[in-house]
Amino acid sequence: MITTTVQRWLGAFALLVCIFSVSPVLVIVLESFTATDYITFPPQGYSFKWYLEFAKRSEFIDSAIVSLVVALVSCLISTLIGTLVAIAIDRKTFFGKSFIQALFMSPLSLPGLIFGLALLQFLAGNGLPRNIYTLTIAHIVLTTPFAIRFISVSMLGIDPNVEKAAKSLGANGLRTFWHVTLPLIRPGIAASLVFIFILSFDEVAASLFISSPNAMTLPVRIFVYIDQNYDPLVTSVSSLLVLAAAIALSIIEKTVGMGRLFGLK
Amino acid sequence: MTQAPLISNEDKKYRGAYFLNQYLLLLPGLVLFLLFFIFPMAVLFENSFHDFSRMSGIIPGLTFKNYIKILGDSYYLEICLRTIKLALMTSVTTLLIGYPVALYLVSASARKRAWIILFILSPLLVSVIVRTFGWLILLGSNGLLDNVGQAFGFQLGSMLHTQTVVIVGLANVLLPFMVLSITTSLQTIDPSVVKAATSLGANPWRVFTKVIFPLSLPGVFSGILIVFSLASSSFVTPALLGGSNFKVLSSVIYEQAMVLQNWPFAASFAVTLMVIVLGILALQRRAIEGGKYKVVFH
Amino acid sequence: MANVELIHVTKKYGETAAVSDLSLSIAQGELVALLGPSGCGKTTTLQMLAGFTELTSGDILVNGKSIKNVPPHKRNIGVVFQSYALFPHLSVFDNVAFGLRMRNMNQVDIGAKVKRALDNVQLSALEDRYPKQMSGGQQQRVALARALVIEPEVLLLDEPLSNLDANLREQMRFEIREIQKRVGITTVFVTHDQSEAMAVADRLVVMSNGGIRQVGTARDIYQSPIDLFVTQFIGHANILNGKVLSSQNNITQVQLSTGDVVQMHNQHGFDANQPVVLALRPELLTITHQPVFGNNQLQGEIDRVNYLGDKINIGLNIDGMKLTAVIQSNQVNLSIGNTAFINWPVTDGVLFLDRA
Repeated sequence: MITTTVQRWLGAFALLVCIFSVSPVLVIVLESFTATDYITFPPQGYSFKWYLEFAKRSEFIDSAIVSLVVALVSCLISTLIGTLVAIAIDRKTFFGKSFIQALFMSPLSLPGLIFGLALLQFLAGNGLPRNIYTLTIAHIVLTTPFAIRFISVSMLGIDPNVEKAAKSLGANGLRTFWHVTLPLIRPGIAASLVFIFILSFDEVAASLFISSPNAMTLPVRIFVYIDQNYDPLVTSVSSLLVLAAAIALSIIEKTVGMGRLFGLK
Repeated sequence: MTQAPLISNEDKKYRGAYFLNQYLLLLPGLVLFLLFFIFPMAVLFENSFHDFSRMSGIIPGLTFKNYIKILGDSYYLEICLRTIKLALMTSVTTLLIGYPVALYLVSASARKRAWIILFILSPLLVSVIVRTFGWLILLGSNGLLDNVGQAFGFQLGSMLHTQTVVIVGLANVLLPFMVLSITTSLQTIDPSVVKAATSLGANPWRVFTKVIFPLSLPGVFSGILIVFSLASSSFVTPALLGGSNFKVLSSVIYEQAMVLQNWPFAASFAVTLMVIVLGILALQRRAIEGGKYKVVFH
Repeated sequence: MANVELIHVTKKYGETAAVSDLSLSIAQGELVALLGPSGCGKTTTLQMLAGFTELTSGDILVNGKSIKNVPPHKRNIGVVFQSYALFPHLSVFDNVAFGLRMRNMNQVDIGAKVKRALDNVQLSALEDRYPKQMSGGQQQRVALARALVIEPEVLLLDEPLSNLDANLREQMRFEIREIQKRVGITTVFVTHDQSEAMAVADRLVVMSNGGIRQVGTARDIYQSPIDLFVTQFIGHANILNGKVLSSQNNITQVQLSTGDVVQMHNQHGFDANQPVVLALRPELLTITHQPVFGNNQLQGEIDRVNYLGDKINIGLNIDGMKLTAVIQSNQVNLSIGNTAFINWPVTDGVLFLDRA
């Protein structure tokens, strides 16, 4: 579409933007290896001491575990609920369908902050505690729309005649679903699991409100720490989050590909 | 929608999983959303109409007091305007940075495209707090800029706590959304249309202004919308990069709710923020449906 | 192997009837083509045979037993879809084996049957491939093998060739016919392509607007179409307007709009002064430079000559009335502007009442 000289300029610009895009993450990971006791960039010296320090801080370890557990449970339950809803939306007619669709998608257009506040007030008003269970429920509500989206897209890609073919060959409803439909939505389910896991692991805004001293996710713990301290400990903890992202990235790239996951061709 | 569905209602019966009852399928999701989404939002909304005192907590009895305070007090009004201004400038910044990248993305070779997608999109998988903290390190005292400046003899100190820095941080965090939005739109343009324009005598600049850009407007608009709503509701980035004197709506919400425990007041700010975000949504819809580019959006 | 009977089958969607009072008997081993323009109800009929669409009224019998209320997965009817509908996540082998697995056959028998089915369609080498690694023609053969391996009572083909390119289409239609004959299975073949239907079917069922216009062999339908629709749908025809002058003793005299009078033998049921249309196949016309006697004859001017290799398509103008003739290319030399005599035997052509 574009002339070659313009292309070259655009390419140079795009390169700069790419560097701009990843620089904060790169900086954090590099800084986590600094030997200094304070934050300075470029880092001076080369040491694992901040990782060791991280391992000693039980509050960070606990938070890492909380984040892990919440993310795991969230991705499983969200994907399950999302699959059920996606099936209902794709294959069934029922009263108020477009309203229900909009309802399930609405957490996407709601700032996590506001949802966290709302849930906080709701829990308090009804005598419910802030704990790892309610935290998980918050994450499930926030991530279910993604599950629904991913599975629905997968379902749209199924040629409807394929299921009719299965029927003509003798498979009843259940067997058609098990042998044909389910395998064909497997990519959507996989994408949902991975993406929701990392989404939950990274979540800050709502978790800020729902976290409690006993159940605080890692990002929230980092935020609280930064409020009072400015030292390289945060960078080693943050690197754990970067590691999780890197693992998620490699799984996504190996399966569906980042571009396609976000809707690009 | 009056067109016939791609799969008729009759045909649906022969798809897999038809045997499952739709109400059973929807039940878990609906129960979850009713209890833990609708009710909380209702509580939030209702609380915003209550008064609060440090002594007795939430006072029963509905009142508009909170909203009057927001709109009447210049301090809060200034915060609202600052939030909107921040969001607007972030949108423009991401548009200016993101559009050329999207343009390059659609015209580059597959290999280059894969790399760009990787670099632009993968930060989305990293928590916003990590990405923002990285800017703190880059631009704070003893950060990259500071140290480089010191090497040349300048005492730059911390660059933080200004609106510019917050915009930089927000633009960095939200850029992927703008790029995605514009790229998707550009990808729908039939390359033959561009060739047709050229064959009719349009030079590359005019091809861009008269053909490519107009056809990419849906993506531009939706990108602006997404970035604006995310920027106006962002909490972590303004808090870390802007500091305690650079307050935006979300900072007030946090402060009122978690520090001052004044939940009703916090709730009213939350509702105000939602109104702003939904207002932009409505404006955009009006612009799309009424404007001269109506046919592009079909 | 089975015979199939459709008895007064009707399918209504609300007030509109997609298929209206359709009755048809299909003999064992016969290949019947449902042919017609889009919207004529041929696909709906097929869907009802397969069980994917319920009948509003009427019945369908297979070997004398009603299958109206039998769900599709119990019908033992093989279906080949227009899009082939292969299972993308299964290999060719597993695709073909699917129906047998649903019938809980044991591994050994499945293996043997699948191999034989793939041999039948010449695809044994590809049993481990996946659908997306195969060409359209290959996918089509897998779909066929998959439908046949379950040894169904009836085989249904829903425009199976329309997604193939022209050359492949011609080749595949003969292959399908050959396999069908070899296996001897009662088959219903839906298509909108009339040359395909004529090449492949034992009998054609020409449909429009939810009903059957004519059933017959290709020759019957081509030479003795029952009405103007069938005439124009199958092959090409010159349509000439005119008026009956007289009709007795098997000879009907028709005055064409140009004033010429022609004779038609074997056309019955007409009275004087009735407006009629005369349908003439282009290949029945002979063109000469000099008048010829004994046949119907018109005089006109050649205004178009298209050389098509094996034949020549000629456009003729007779006082404003346009005719098309198709002649062998090794015949007379003709050019635009020539005066020509067009003639045809009095026994050729079909006459219809002009209902316009």
